[in-house]
Amino acid sequence: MKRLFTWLISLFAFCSILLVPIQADNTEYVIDEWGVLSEQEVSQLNALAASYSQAHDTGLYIRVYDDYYLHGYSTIEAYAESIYLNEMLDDDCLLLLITMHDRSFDLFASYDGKCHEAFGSYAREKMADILVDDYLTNGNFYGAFVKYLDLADEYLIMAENGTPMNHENDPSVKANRRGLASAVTFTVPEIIALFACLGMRSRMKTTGISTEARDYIADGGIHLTRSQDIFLHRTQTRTHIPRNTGGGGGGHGHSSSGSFGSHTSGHF
Amino acid sequence: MPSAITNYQCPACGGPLHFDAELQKLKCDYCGSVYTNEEISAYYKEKNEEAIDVNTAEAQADAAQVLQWTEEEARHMRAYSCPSCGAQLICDENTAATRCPYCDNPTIVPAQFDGALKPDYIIPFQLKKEQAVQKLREFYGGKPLLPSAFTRDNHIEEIKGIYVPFWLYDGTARAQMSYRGTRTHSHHAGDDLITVTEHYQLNREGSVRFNYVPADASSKMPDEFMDAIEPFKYDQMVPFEMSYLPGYLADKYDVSKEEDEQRADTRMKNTTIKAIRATVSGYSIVPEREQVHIRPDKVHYAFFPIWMLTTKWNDKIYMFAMNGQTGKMVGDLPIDNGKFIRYLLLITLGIMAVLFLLFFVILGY
Repeated sequence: MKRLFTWLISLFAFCSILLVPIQADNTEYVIDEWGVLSEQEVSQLNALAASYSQAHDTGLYIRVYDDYYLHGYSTIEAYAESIYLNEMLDDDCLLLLITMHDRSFDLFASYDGKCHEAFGSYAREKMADILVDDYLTNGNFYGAFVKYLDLADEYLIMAENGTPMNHENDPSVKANRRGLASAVTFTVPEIIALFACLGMRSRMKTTGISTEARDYIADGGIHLTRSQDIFLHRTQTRTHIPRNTGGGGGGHGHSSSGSFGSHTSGHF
Repeated sequence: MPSAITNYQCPACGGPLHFDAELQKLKCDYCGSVYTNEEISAYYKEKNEEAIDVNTAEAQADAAQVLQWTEEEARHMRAYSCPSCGAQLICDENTAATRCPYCDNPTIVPAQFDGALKPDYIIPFQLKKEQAVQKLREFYGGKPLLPSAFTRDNHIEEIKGIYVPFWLYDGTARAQMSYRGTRTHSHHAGDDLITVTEHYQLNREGSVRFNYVPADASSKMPDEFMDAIEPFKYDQMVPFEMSYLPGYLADKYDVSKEEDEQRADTRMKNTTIKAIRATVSGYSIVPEREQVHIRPDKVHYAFFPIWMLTTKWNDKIYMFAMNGQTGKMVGDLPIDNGKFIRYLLLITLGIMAVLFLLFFVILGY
């Protein structure tokens, strides 16, 4: 009897485990209060963010709001930090905050955890350049957010491999540097060698007709009797140098340190 | 019978005299006696005057008779009888100093320095024959493209100490120049770059005085050698005396001062243009008018010392000239093209290896 009772309890526990549904990740990684995304896009982005967040055990968040000023904050950075605290984001997280009223953005990386290392100022600024230049200025918000998540995943992998995204580890910088080094290595030696050999060759011929008589100018021999500089007229040209404005692309961010994390913010 | 030439022989033993560059005096090759130029000039004054009086046409006719040359050939040659050994010396019409090929006595033709032909100045030899040979060897040094066989196998065919005739021109170049000049400066005003250009008319007039601009007066001497061997130091230039010539060769001029004047004028003109142009500063200039007029002054006739050396290599004659006063050596050396290519490759690969090591190994690009 006792044995039967024990067996029934075990069976019940086993079935309970099978019947209890697996808790779904209901974290809202993407919130769009302004309406730049459709419901389907929000859903897709949420799933992508959840996938990357779980893979790296961090939080990757996107927030699109109206205006930080209306919420009582003088800067977007302050607003981002309040979201980090009040919306209970993961301690170790990256947040892309956009306020549509003045088209501002902020990339916030918390001090806790691997995000601080993976998203240093170089990585954040590089990410900001790509998002603003290629997507946000064109109004492609969905594309921008997908790119944000993909880049976050890429930079987290780099950090986990011990080579966080920075100037030394940036593959594009490395490729440029390698290309430049190759060009210098394979062209400069020829030029130097040619000049050196032509110099050696020129020393083999020492004869030539003299065309000047500088050595034979008498002492005090140069005598200027007239020296006149007459001003004639003035001309002026004006060349317009177009500036990179925020709306026209190139809205690069500037980095700063906050109370709970680092920021890279700007306009697009 | 007086001879048309004078042998400069030692008053003590009758041996040949030569002008010693180190002592700056005349020295006997046999007994070593040393004499100053003044002593020898005074000693041979009468003989020189007698030699001048000997009819040049007679010397010319002798050449034609002795050698049975045509009139044209004989017109450019002279035959002299050596007063020491009586041998016939056949010389170019311009030869002024030589050596008797039989008794080796230094021989001067005083008629070549008579009257208007007498040089005003001479720079005596300061460097000896041995120094000329040494300088040539030093000249070969530090020339990586020189064929190795050249330094090893070449031998000096001939070394001649020659007093080369030069015309020295004094003159004043008067210049009138005008240029268009501009000055540019820029500044930013908002998003615009403002470039302001000021335009000027620049006028310059002046003169440049030149002294002793040289041009060699011998058609036998390559001009590019004689120009390259400059400069000569005029502080060692002294009034001409025939007693500086024994032991060396000399030809009187065969290019007149009128024929050579253009060379000197061109040099003076180019220098004047550059000198006046240098007084314009702070502008970008475009010349509008550059007029230079040379007002000639005196023309002096001088003898300058040159050591001429010829070497033979690969059946080719190479000529070198050394300034007998300063030691400056000029000449065109053969180039080993194979060495040129090898050095080119070696230097290229060497630098390439260093850069490769630096960029891809040390810096890890």
